[in-house]
Amino acid sequence: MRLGINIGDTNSHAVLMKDTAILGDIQTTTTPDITAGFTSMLQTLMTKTNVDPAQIKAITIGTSHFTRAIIERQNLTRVAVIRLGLPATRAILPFTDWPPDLLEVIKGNAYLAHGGNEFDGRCIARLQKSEIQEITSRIRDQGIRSIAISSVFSMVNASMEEEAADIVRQIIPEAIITLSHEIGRMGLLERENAAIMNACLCDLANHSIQTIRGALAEMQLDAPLYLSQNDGTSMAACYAERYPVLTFCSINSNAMCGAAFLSGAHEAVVVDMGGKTSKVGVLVGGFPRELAFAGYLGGVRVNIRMPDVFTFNLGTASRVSLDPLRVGPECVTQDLVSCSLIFGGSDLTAIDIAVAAGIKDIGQRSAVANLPPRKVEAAMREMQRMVQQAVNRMRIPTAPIPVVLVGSGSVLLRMRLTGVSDVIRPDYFSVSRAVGAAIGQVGGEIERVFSLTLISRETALQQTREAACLKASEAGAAPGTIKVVEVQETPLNYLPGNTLYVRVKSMGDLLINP
Amino acid sequence: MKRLTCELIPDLIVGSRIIGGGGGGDPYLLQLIAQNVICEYGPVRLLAVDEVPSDALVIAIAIIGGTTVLAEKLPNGEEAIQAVRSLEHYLRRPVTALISIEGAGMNGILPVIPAARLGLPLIDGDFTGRAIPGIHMTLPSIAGIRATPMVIVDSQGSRVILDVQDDETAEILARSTVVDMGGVALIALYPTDGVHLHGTIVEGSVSHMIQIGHALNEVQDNFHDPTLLIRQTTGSDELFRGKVAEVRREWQNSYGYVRGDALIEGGGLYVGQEMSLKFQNEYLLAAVGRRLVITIPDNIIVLEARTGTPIPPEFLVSGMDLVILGLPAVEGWLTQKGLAVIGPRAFGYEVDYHRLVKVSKKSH
Repeated sequence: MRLGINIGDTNSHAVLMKDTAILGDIQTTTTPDITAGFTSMLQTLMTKTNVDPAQIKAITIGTSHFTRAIIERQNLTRVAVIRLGLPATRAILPFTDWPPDLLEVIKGNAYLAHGGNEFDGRCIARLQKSEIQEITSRIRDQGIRSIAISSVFSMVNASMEEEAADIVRQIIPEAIITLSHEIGRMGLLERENAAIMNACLCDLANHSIQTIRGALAEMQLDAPLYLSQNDGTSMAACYAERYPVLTFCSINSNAMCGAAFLSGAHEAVVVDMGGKTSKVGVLVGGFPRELAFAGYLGGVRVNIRMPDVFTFNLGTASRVSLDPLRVGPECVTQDLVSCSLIFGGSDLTAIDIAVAAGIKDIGQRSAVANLPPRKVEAAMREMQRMVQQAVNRMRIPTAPIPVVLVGSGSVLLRMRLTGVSDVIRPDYFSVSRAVGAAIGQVGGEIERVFSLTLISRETALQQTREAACLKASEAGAAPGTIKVVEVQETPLNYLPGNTLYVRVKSMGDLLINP
Repeated sequence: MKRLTCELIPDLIVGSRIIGGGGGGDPYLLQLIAQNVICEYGPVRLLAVDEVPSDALVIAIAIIGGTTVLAEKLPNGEEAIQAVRSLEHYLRRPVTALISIEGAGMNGILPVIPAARLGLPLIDGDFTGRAIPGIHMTLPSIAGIRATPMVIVDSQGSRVILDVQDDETAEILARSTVVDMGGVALIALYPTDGVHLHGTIVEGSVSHMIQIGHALNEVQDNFHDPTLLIRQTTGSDELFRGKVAEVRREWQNSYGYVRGDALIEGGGLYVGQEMSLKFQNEYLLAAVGRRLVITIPDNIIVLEARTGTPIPPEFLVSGMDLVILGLPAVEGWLTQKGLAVIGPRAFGYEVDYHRLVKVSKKSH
């Protein structure tokens, strides 16, 4: 049996699955300290399904905790940066183009040092031990121990980043170091940005995952723990402690992978509607379509893989005004249960409209019985229009594909949308994110650049495939189950001769307790 | 006299990317540098070709090499200054104005940076009006202005001066030098004067790119089709819409560049039709069915359908939704001499240039 858990900004969900069957599900409100709501939710689920904790063989958690820390600029650690690239790279310094309020919280000093590689593997300059030592002493004197290290073309040769890390550790043994080649893709500034973000989350990741482990242990849930990654795959919790940045957007990916599993549709538009916002993404082959370019996270340009998702302000807690007609963009400030009319509050919300229109039956219907039906209908049409517009934006009018509605907010909609082949709201739609977490395999991804004057294309591909499989294994995949699932090879432009960029994705099964 | 201020840089960037049509690199990094430099050194004077004195020494400044390499091996910021100073030293004359060799992609913005640093005016024009893969493929070159003497500078501070008999040789020597320099370098080339610039270059292109970018940046809420706005502001025609079905790439031309093609399955009004899009560093030919609809030097602008983002050939993957626009080439290219340098045959395709053809759409 597998336990899939989603810890969202407002709501948390959990599902218990045996193979492809869902044995039980539950939802609750996310509590500020994570574990309180989380523990009672799991206890209720275990009681409800009458399952012995020992029967659970794997636990996967999808969480927006780290994304939210960046967006809210909270619980972040100050980071120093060492970039290896002198005499090149001086024109654009680390932390360039970051939002000032985020810099205030996380920016330590940034140092440029000699080093880095050319695209063909030659050194730009040799790494100078004394230079790194001197920089590290200054970082130590500032009291900073979270350090991001980047190096030019570290996806060609990672050894300079690794050597520099060794030198740093000799001077600051407790240093927590993020190496850029372990995280990002090609493009020094964006990869360095991703490494800095990862480094500023290291203390929070360590603390949160320890807390979760403790809470699970108290419930005798001692199955291997995984966290969801941003492409819908999973990684072992100890791996996630080192790479929290890889959890960014994992909730969106989980909702989409869950939607694919629940509906059986592998090419579809997914609308995931929550309490405050809704998100629209596209499934390609059962996985979220990725953003083709560098994206922005918390105002910072990064090139980690991210699902291509469009967010708009509509959820069950959206405020509604009937005269003049307006739905959102703001939500009720406190929780839905104490504010909306149907739950005895005094604010008109989107969920009240759905109940008044008769498409959802919860709370006290009598509380919305006096709303003028024509205005209720107009508000319903407005919500419908907002979703249709978002679907149109993401869907490309090539071939009509189905829309899968998931998330508890999807009850706001009538099942009518135009320009699509079908509208599906599968069973268990409201816990799609937890389902996505539960079903995720362990994923690994590697990106490399090769100069084919030195190595054959076959060897280059083989090396990258092996590295990707090794990465999946490090992320917690069971040996013997790891397969390469995607290979992308592209020559670099405007460069004569054979320079190959390769990206390989691998996946394997979770390590399951015997 | 117009001035290029910090606020206009984002517009110039967007316009330059659009005219690049997917070629010439992503100018985001140069935007960061250009804004910094203008903030520190002040705006750049934009000089119309008519305002350039006949005895001026004008030189072009460009990035050469892999644009993805540049995103990794960031510049040290002094390369362009060293290039200008070295060429001045070789010519024993001070430079009086700078110009863009290629009004597209990164090179559409690059000369702004040394212009601001050195307090030199930038000429409102460029040598090509589109993205090009070789330094000899310019309008001045076919008009007899020589690319050399030129200077190549890398980020480690090495400088190479080329002074050779013809521009194609200059391209060959420069390209191999750049590979040895680590795949990307800065060049200063085409030293010329006000007299020779007249009538040979694309005039007003910097202002034009700013206008295009401004129109697009104005519309922040792009709920409607951004590709429509791009079509209107550039004056281009829509050639096709559809989804990438397959991309093939091979190394096969005389410069050792990649040559590839993408098969695009028609969508919407183009359902049932198929476009074959051929590319090397830029998009060069497109055929719908067996009918050639556009060839270089006309500009093939390939946009991601939803966002209107120009997609470089190296980013093409199957499943991507595209809108393909066609923008007629500047008149200067459509001569026998021009087409010999930049027509389809110059890239190894056994077809002749002809003006772009509109693809028939299904009626509703």
